[in-house]
Amino acid sequence: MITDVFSAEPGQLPGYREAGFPDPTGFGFPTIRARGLDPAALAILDALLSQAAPAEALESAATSPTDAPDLYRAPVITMVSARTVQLLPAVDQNQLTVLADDWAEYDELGGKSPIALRAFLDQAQELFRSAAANDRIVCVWNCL
Amino acid sequence: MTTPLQYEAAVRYPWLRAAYHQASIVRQALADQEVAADPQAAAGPEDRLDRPDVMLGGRFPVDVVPDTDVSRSAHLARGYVNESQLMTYEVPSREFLAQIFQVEGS
Repeated sequence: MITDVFSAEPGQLPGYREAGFPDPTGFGFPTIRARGLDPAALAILDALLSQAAPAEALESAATSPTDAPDLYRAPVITMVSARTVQLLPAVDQNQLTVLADDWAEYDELGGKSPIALRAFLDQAQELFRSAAANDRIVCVWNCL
Repeated sequence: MTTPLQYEAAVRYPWLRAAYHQASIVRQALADQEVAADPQAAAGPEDRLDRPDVMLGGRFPVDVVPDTDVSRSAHLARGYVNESQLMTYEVPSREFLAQIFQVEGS
C-alpha cells in the first residue's frame, strides 16, 4: 500500500477532500513518498517514541476523518499523531539509527530494511519539525 | 503473516481489511513458484520505502493492485511501472473481507 506522509494547513483539508484526496505531491503538499507504513507500523513508531501501548497508539493512527473510508473507492487519509510529530524531531542522529533498527524488528514492518527506515526517519524529522513550527498537521495518504 | 496488532486493527477499522488483504496477495505473488525461483525477484531497492512490490529479474518492476481506477492511476504516477507492469486482482466483497478477519455483522 502506498503510504505517503505529508503536511498541510488544517484549513487546506476541506479543499483537498473536495478534490477527492489526490496524490499529495501533485496537490502541492510537502510529501515523503513511502509504502507499507500502515497504521499498525506507525503505531509501533509512536509507541517506541512515547512508551504508549501500541494498541492505544493505533487509535490515533487508524482513525480517518472520512465517513466510511473505503480504499477501493478513494485514498484514505489518516493522521500522524501529534505526539509522534512532536517527539521524532527531538531524537538525535545516533539514536535515529537505533530507532530505525528497533522499528525494523517488528513484524508489522514486514521486513523493511533499517536503512530505508532510517532514510524515512531523516526526512520525517525535517517534515515534522517544519510542520510543528508552522501549525501544519501531518497526514498519511493511504492508497492500495 | 498478519500480526496480532494488524488483526486487531482490521477488526476495529474495517477500511484496513483491504490493506491487509492486499499485503497477503503481494506475499502470495512473491511466493509464486516462478517468482520464488528468480533469485533477484525480491522487492526493489532496499534503501528506500517507495519501491515496487516485486522486481522480476532484478530489473522489471511489478506492482500488485486491485482493479480500480484509483489504484491504477496512483501506481502509474509513481513513475516506476507502466500499465503492463500492474498485476491486478478483483476487488473482493465486504463480506469476503469480513470472513477473512472473522468479523460478524460487518
